[in-house]
Amino acid sequence: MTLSRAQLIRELQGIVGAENVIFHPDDLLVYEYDGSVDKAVPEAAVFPANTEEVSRVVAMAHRENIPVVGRGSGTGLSGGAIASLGGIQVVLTRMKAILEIDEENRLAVVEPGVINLDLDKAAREHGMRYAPDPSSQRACSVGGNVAENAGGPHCLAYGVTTNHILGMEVVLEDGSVAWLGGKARETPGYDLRGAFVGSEGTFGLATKIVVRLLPVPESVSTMLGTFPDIDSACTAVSSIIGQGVVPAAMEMIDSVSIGAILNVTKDVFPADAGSVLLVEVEGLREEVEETRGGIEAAMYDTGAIEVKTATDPAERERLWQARKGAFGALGTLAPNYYLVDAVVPRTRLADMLAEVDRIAKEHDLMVANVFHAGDGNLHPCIAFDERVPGTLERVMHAGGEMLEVCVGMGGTLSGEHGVGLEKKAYMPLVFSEDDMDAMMRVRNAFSPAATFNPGKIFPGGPEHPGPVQGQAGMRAAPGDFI
Amino acid sequence: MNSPATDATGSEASPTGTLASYAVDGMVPREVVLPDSIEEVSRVMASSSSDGQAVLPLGGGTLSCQGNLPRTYDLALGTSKLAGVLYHEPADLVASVQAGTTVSDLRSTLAKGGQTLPLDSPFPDQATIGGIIAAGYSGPSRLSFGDPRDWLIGINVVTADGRVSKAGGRVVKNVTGYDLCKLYSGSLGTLGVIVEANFKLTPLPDDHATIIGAFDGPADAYQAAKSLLSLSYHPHSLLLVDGNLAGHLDEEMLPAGKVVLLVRHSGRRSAVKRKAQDTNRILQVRHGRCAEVPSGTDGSLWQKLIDLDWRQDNGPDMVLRASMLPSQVEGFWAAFHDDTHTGLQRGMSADVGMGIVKLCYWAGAVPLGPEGQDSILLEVARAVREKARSLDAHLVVQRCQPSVKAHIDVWGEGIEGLEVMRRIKEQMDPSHTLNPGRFVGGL
Repeated sequence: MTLSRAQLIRELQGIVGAENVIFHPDDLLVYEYDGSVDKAVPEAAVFPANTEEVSRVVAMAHRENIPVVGRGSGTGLSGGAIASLGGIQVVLTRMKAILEIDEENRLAVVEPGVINLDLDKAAREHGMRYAPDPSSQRACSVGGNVAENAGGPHCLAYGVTTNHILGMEVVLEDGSVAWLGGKARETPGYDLRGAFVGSEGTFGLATKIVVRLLPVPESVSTMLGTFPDIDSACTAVSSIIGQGVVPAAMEMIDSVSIGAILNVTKDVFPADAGSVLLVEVEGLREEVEETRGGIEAAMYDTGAIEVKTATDPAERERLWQARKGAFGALGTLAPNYYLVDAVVPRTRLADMLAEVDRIAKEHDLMVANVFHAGDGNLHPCIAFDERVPGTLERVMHAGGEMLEVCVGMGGTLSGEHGVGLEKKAYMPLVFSEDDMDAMMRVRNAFSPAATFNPGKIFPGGPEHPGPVQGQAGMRAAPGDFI
Repeated sequence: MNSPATDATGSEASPTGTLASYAVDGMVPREVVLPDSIEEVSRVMASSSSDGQAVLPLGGGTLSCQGNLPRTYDLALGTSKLAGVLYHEPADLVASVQAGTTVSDLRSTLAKGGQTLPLDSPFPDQATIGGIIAAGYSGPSRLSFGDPRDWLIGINVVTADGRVSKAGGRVVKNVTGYDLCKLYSGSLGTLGVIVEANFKLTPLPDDHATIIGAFDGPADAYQAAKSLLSLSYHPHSLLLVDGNLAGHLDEEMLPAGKVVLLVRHSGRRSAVKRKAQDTNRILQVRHGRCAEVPSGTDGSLWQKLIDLDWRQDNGPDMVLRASMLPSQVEGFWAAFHDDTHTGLQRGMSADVGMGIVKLCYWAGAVPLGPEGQDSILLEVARAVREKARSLDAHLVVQRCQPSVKAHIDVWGEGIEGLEVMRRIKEQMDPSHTLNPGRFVGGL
């Protein structure tokens, strides 16, 4: 960087306007963290209004060799939006227009700062919907969803974010603007769109996003199965899939989480349940009814105490709000939590949960499990109090052990939250040097100077404290999601 | 058809007959290797890249007429000995398969567990999984089930310099590291040799039904298609086919001289019944004469449609594939409906919901000999591309004679993101060992 800090700020102000640059250390505190455990303060945070401003900011940063870190709503769970090596945070919350909803072509064009749920609501006014529904969907942005390839409960049937993105306009590190993919379903050449989605902000900044919209199904049925323990619920998951049924969503909640949820939402789940399984099926009336019957039978056959079906949209909404607010509710059990995002083959769910339990007991920690059972995507959530000396270290060790066990079962480090800072030290558990070398080559093609989000995903390089030396754990609050 | 010979082993010098059967666009390799292990692929690639040899990876050869002419072609790397399903756990809905496995073999293994990989393939007894991924092939089922990239959850490739490199894994949800599965899908073997692939799967449907609506003209057929596509569900497949194309299918269910809408449904029996009723009603409202293909035989009708583009016997001499927004299909179809070229036979089909229109040409009746036929086809390809551009569609020449290819970039110009693509190729295959010149922009 050849500019002084004052010159840098002035240049940024010249591009986006003085009122859209934050640089005072106190103001920047808001931008030092996301939903994960790491923290770092950027040099400045800028709030561009359009593609041209993003392009000029990025070109300037590239010229001056300053890192650029994109940020949406800051709900990410792996440190993706944290400026771990300093630099300029480009906050895209002002770019929040839904530019187009095209009913005939079933697509929408949005700016990156559009909130996920707002897009879904807007689509529903046209009889369509946006399928990926991260639990943070009331707060998270579509741009952030693209960066992390976000998932959500309904990704079981409809796929994760990447399956719903047709194309995007991106700003590359030299400030040039390119379209990857587009509105048409087929575009010739390498699938740059597919490579960009989930690149965790290291390839560029998306400034316009074309998403695929789906029709709203004719009929929806939501079932709540109550089980005496978690093992029988896991057997039910395998049995349902084994029947040749892929529900729209299949979510499991254990007894610890049920206790926490009931502190926030009274009577939504049975207080004495060992676990509950929330299963949703969608489609034509005929098939929903038929499938519902099969799932209900499978749940009883595998030991369910009771299976109830939500009869109206309000009841369904209440169940889903309780599920999506589960991690916020854990704040009633302990002041901090650390969330693991492990995925195992579906058939190993019960084994993995047993291992999670064993590891938690060995470290004398409390774990709550609320997760996407249909996908094999676990979310062991370690609740703790960071004020007790040595606790955070135990939590981090336990999280690491859980990831190692998960990989040993044929699973992987992250199903939907990303690697970011949090899990980069664990990448060698899954990928060899040659595997990561191929990934780095693709990164070099998009961003040869590594201007975007340096120090993320891959171990080594300019180091940020790894997960084991991580800083303060996140303070849980009822507004938090996963 | 370039059926791969099975008598070549290792990297021994290959008999001439074998070499000819690995010809691509009329170019014959100097050598054919059929490695039987990933390690051997790795050795072949390491030595080829250091020796400056051009390598063309080949599966069953069913789609090998795609792409520009290879700049050079030294070595054919056939994957036929890398065959077999490595893993299928029905309760996980996941399978792992070697790249040289034929689509038929994979389908029959998966069917034993009541599951399927819901992707179409021309000549499934011959086409390989690796080839389908590399070509990014999708047929009419794409309307419901997308492309190979939507089902690929893990991949193992040998890079141009011989390193073994994987991405993704065996779980259905995975954001660990970059999603290189997407990048390898449809890259036409220009970034690495695909050796293994992991897929998520779907349960086999209980039932299928295909309804054929015959229309006097395209306007009603298109309106019927539009109504069907605005329902709360998508058909499994929906294809608009003109009378000329139907004539090349040798299929008595397709009435001659009519514009035909073929609609396929799959799923639970109760749902298929309801969807078939909806379809009949909509087709009739638009004055279509409806017929239902007898249950159990509709698969072969769709397979004929899928095979048509790639057929060697009586296959089209040229296939042009235009990509556009679904809403543009009607205008595009109308613009080309009455186009005629002396002696050329032309058939059209449209995947309305996906915005893909295909124009197939047969030049056999042009009384000018092969050279004259090629010059007419080249002229047509250029004219159609120009007109497609004016209609905001992108035209790819999916298939044509090598002599036509010599004068045209089959992928077309003005490709968005080409500079980044070029840098990716430079990073992954700096010596241009793999499929040199065949992909977009001469990559």
